[in-house]
Amino acid sequence: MSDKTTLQDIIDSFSAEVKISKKDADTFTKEFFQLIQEALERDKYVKIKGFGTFKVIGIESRESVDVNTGKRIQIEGHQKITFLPDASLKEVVNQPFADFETVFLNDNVSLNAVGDEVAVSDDNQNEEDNPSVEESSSETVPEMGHEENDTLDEEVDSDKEEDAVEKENAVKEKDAVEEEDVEEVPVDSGISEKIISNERTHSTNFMHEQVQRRRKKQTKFIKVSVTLSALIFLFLIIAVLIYYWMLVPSKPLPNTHLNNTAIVNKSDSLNKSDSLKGSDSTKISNNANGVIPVKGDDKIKAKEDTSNKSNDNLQGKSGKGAIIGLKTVHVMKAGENLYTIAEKYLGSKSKAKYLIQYNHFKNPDLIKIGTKIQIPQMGE
Amino acid sequence: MVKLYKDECDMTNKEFIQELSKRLKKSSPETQQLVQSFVTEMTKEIRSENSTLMIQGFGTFEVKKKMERVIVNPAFERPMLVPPKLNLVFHPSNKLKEFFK
Repeated sequence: MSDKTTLQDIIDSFSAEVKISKKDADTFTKEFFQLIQEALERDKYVKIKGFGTFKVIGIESRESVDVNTGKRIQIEGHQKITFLPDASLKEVVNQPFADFETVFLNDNVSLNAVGDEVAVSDDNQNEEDNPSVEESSSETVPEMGHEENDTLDEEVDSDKEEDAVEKENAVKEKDAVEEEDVEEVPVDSGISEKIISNERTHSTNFMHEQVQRRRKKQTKFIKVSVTLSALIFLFLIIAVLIYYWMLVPSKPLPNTHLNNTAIVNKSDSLNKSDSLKGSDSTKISNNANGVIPVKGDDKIKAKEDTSNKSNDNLQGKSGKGAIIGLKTVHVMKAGENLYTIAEKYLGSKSKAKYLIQYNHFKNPDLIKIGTKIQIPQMGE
Repeated sequence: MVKLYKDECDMTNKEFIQELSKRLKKSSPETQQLVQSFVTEMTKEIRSENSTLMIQGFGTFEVKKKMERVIVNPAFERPMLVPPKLNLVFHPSNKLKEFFK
């Protein structure tokens, strides 16, 4: 890189090429550049075929701030010479990298391996005969030397893990991408290899930075989305809770079921009544005598069973719709189900569960015809 | 600097060679050939050495490597990997800079 070619070297080779004397070549080149300079002065624009264009660009004056003093200063307008290499010259200069194209990266391509590249790159110089070269060989020009096959492999591997479906394409893409890293260099130039190996570390650092920046963005996004989803989840839970809280009073309360031998369930009923206390205390206050007010459809039965009230009294407060005793026994007929029976005897379909409870049906959906169903007497 | 009419203020290759031939007192086809071979010689030099070409009193031509980099397409937000590139840059010498100030 530091090796500089002066004009003299060119004149030497030039004179040899065209077979003119060195003196002539010297004058020629002097005139050449002199003319460019003068033409630039006059026309502001010189185009030389196969080389490029020189242009003089006027730069307008602008305000800026002095870095040391912090004062505002005026940068005066001046003229600047620019050089734009010709397309053909550009191509020639860029020939080592001519095969590369801009490539779309898959979203989930991990660039972790690039970070390791720095460490690996030193060894790669010796690994030109690495057997894994085949992976990229289909796309590379035969004269090019392969380097950094390790990184290529790493990339490919990580790709495979990430999306096995797109493996084929991804690998190919990756090959194309990584060939850039592979730094194909014409075989004859040993110096450029050194240069590029230096530069590669820079480039990889740069890549790494880029990746980290992207990572940060992604994690930010993930954080936001996580908090958002958490909020939504919380809101849902609250909504469900509110829904249940609204439903509780209208729901039939967990009942106390008393068999004929009510004493057996005494403790049970006590528990239930406790829960009742919690849910609506107004009703309990009505139950000073241990009788629970029943909905309209149960009123009749409530009247009938005054005798059982005393029984309830003994047991303490019992829940609404407590089972007081056996009313009748119903024999299951065809076309009947627990709902119809519950509606018939207990006044509402929703009381079918009392039947289930009272009769200890293990499978209430499957009750055979002829089964004797004990219809409980519901307390008031 | 906006150029409205290219022909008026530009010096094209043809004009350049004509001017040069006048100065060298040679025929224009001859100078053209000379220029051509000179340019190829220079490009050869630049290419093979991958180094700086210094021309006294004029400036330096340098091959610089642009790193590969990941960019994000603003339209589709897709990350793209731009390959590395070798670029020829020209730095005018101080003398030339002074000349145009």
